[in-house]
Amino acid sequence: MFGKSIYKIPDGKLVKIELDFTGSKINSVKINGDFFLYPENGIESIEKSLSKVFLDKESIINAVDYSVKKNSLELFGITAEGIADAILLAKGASDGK
Amino acid sequence: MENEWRLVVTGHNSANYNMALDEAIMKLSHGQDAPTLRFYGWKPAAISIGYFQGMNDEVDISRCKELGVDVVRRITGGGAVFHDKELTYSFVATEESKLLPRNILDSYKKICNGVIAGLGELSLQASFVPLNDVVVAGKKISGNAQTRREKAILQHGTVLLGVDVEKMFSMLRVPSEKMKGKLIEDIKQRVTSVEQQRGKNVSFEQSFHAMKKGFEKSFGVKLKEQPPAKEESMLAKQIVEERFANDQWNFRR
Repeated sequence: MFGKSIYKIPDGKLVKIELDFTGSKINSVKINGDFFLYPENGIESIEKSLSKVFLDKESIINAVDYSVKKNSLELFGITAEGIADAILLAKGASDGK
Repeated sequence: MENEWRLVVTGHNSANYNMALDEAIMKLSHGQDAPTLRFYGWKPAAISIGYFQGMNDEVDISRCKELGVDVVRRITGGGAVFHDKELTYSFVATEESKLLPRNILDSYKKICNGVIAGLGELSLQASFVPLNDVVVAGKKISGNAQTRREKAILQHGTVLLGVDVEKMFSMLRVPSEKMKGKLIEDIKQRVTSVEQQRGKNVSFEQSFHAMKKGFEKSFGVKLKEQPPAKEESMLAKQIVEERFANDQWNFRR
């Protein structure tokens, strides 16, 4: 199934999610927005780390945090929790295909 | 004697060239003790989007074509910017120069202090609002974005000389067309320009002289104007082809 969301992170920037999932697991996710992340190509590590992750808040936060730590990423205007909320919003808005 | 830094003023150029020269200056900065400050403008007018934004999510490409407005993806994060009546600066320093704090937020602030001093030279009282804005009278007048690669730091940013929110939003996509009117009114309340604040037009030349003075005062240095180095111009041409004139880069997200 496929879902999209636009989510303003509290005290942060705007995140736009494109989510592809099957059942309760993520196939792939695209995280767009006007945030900052250093180094920039770390966004792909985060997106990849979310593949096969369960669609619940804790699992998503853990996957993002792990990727941030492993790749020494710095996030501004975006948080692991914000990403999780945005992804779950996209799931809720899915097309039900 | 005061430290001397290089100032590069390239005038008005295409979005491709502007973004490529910033990247070329950063890539060739190693081994240089002094940073480079650059001032430039945009001709034709252009929309740049942030590294993480979706091009078709943010920009109405066919509308831009109609209006002759270029589009380009930056190598820095942040949001979509309509570059029209503005002075743009870029600042490149190596990490080894220890000129900027390692802490990213602190380094934004340190560079933005140059912008704030420059606005001061235009009799405008500005202040820094984290993460990346400079405001006058509570309204954004300058947006800034930084990247760090291979131990070099590039920060570029805008100083709005004039602003046309309606034209900007005729090319930017918004989440809901129904809310567009309200959004435009909202942005008008939150964004300002040198022209609005001074009540008169300030030219590109006047503004870059003011910014030059501001950066000199803020960093306690002398800026010496030089053209871009030959290597930088050549590398910029290559980067235009490889990256900024390439749909694979501009439409990658």
